[in-house]
Amino acid sequence: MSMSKAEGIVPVVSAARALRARRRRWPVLLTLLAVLATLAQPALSGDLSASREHQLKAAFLFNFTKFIEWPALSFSSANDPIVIGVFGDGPFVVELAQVVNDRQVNGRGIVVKRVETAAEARSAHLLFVSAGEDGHFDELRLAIQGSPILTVGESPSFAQAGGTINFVVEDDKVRFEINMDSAERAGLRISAQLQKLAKLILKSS
Amino acid sequence: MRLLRDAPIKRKLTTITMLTSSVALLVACLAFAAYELVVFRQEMVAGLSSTAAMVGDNSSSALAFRDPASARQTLESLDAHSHIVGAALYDTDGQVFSTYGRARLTEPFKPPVVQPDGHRFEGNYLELFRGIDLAGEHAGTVYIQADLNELYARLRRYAFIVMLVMIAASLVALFLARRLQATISGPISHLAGVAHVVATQKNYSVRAMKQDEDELG
Repeated sequence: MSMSKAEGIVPVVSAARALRARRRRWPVLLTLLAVLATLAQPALSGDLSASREHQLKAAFLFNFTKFIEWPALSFSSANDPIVIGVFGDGPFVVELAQVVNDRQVNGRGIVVKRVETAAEARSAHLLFVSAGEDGHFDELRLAIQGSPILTVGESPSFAQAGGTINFVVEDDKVRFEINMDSAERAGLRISAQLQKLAKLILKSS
Repeated sequence: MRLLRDAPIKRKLTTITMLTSSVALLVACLAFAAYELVVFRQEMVAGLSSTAAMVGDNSSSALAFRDPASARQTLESLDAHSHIVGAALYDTDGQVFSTYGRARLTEPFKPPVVQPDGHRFEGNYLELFRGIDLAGEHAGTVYIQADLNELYARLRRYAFIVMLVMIAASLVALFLARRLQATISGPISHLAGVAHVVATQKNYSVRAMKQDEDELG
């Protein structure tokens, strides 16, 4: 998106100058703009996936909660909300909050919040670790080990390193890997319906 | 009825008996067949509805995570149901997400515009829409279209059975009617014979033999 904007501004400015200089160049300039727009198309669609990717990931994070069974102890009551914590990436918190809005999963509301400390992480049911935060997350990982928290990442080898679910972008599609051992350690049950969509399932036995 | 009027009493009785029993039997057979068909249609709808529910459950994740390949795989499991002509999955916006058409279709299966839950018998098909619920949220819709070949096969089978039953029952009824009509036609024929002797020979000394205790006795 940002790239296409930058590309777009240049011809518009030059077009304005040309217009002032010679009004008769109109059709030529319009054609030029059209050609530029066509040329920008592939770059645009390739670039678009960045925001689309975030949208999809936000929707997927919300949908994950429908296919995960947390141990009864992780909720204090039947209509206790599911807490989705986001580690890093402030803007994504807003985006995720928009997706979640007032929706409910099996009668539970969803709360999205930014997480920075181990104590905050422990209060979440699902913890999303945005790309580039892995280094910081490693410190946190030990603190939440064994807690019924579904960790979702978006960096290569996040699942191999002990995360439960990891997003993988492949052919303009957002897919995911599941580490079943990690889920088991956290006492989470992952529905077979979700498992069958996984690009990769990591399991020790 | 004119034909019957001039026929001998023996034949009249047999014909009346046969006609009455055949009509009664036919009505009974048709009633049973109609009931069976109504029940069968209900079973078809129930069966298709549970198949749709199964497909919905198994494709809810594919819809939620926009994975058409997985959705197609689920729909292809319908191959096991030979009466299912085609099926489709729609996303929450009502857009077609994935379709399935049975092999060897004369023309490719085209999914209709999404509709609210319900079923209807349309021409040679039964079609059904069913919403997919995922954790309390609407996740999409399943559409399944099934042919009515089995219904027609049943209809033909019923017609054949009714025919067989009618023939067999008629033979038995004919046999019984022939035997039993004698209890009525016998004394009447006897009386008629005696009356005939009286009328033609003016012989009033002939006596009819009393046979039963009914009106003729």
